[in-house]
Amino acid sequence: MLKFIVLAAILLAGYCVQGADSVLSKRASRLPSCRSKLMDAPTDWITMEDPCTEKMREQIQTEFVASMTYLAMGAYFAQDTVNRPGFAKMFFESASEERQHAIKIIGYLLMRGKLTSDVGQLIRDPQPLGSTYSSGADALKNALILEASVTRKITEMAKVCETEFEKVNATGHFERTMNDYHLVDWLTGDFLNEQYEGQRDLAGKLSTLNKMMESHGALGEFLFDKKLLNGNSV
Amino acid sequence: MKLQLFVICVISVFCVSYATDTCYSSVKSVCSSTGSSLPLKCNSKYGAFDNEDIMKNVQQYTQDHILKSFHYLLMSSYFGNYEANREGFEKLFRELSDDAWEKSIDLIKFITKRGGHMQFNKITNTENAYDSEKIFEFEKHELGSMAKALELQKNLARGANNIHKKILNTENHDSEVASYIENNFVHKHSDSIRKLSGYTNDLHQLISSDDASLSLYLFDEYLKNTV
Ligand SMILES: [Fe+2]
Repeated sequence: MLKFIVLAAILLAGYCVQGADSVLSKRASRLPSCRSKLMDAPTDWITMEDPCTEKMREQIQTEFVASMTYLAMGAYFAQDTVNRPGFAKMFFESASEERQHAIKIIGYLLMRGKLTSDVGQLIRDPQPLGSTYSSGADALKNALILEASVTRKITEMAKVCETEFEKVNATGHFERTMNDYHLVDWLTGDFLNEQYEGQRDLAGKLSTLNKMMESHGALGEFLFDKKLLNGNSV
Repeated sequence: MKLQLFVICVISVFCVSYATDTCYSSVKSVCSSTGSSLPLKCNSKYGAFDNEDIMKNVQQYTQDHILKSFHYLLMSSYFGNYEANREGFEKLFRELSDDAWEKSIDLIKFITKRGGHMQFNKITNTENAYDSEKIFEFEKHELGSMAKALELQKNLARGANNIHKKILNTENHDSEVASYIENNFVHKHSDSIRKLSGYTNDLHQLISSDDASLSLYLFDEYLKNTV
């Protein structure tokens, strides 16, 4: 009987201690667990150099400026008094494509171990480069100029990312950086490819439209717009 | 000759008697022999969109969706980095971003359908200017970011209600705008708000447990599979 009482007392005491313990640990864990704990991981694999990273971050904003510019073009041609639904459709699609380009660059930076901080500065209130256009041809011309400037930026970026330079490393010694072969390959093989194809497409459209307008004026633009709307190749 | 003169007289009297700001009268004056070069006053503007202030509200609401799509995208990007490494959160916020972006294009199409135009510059002095934060602050932990996502959705819900309220009064009454806002926004807002609130409360309970990091891991897995 005594044995039983002692056993019960021990169990009770154990329970109390455990109870108090879990309340304490609850308190203790509640505060720090709001912040995610950073684990110590080696950083040798994060090899993108700062000038190159900076260019890539900048390119995200550039893609969003292009995206907003196309969005404004879409908004212009969608107006009832302008009434060019084919042009509007094409430009709205381009706006979403440019947004996808920005997301693709973000994805690349994430893959290379970047964007653990300063993510909030990546998109800085991008605004469209124009709001009204005198004609469909005028907008196509502006789109082509815009794409050419984006292409130039990507080429410049590839140049920066392949350039090796001397820098002081973490141990205070001079060190020669490496050509970022993978990023440059990705930029030239993937991004530039899309740029050149896109530019050729725009230039072809502009040329056809100009020829149609020369002989048929307003009718030329009207017909061209309907072709764009129905997704026919022009 | 007399007859011609008479016809011209009749037409000009007809034109003058009609207010010159209607589409039909502007067509009349363009087509009349006096050969007016005035632009046509023909557009698809009617109902609530006759009111400049209401159009500004819808423009502002569109800008708001664009900004929110950026905000959600940055939140998603953050959780995609190797340190945070929360694929479920990344996916959830990305979906919210995509949705806000699609909605902003849809709103532009709606504005232009109703004879309006889109304005991208910052719009001032509208009542809706509640949340035009342009520098994005975003939370770097799971619970905080979920609470932020909930807050942003509630902002969008409030914006929809503000427009809805304005077009229900007698002078601006516009059932088409009302139905557009209802079908494309308000019902979806109630769904997403309920979902995000549920997530936020789940998260709060989970991180209060003894093993918060395992709980967060499992919750992230859950998000990844359900979103
Ligand atoms: Fe692009």
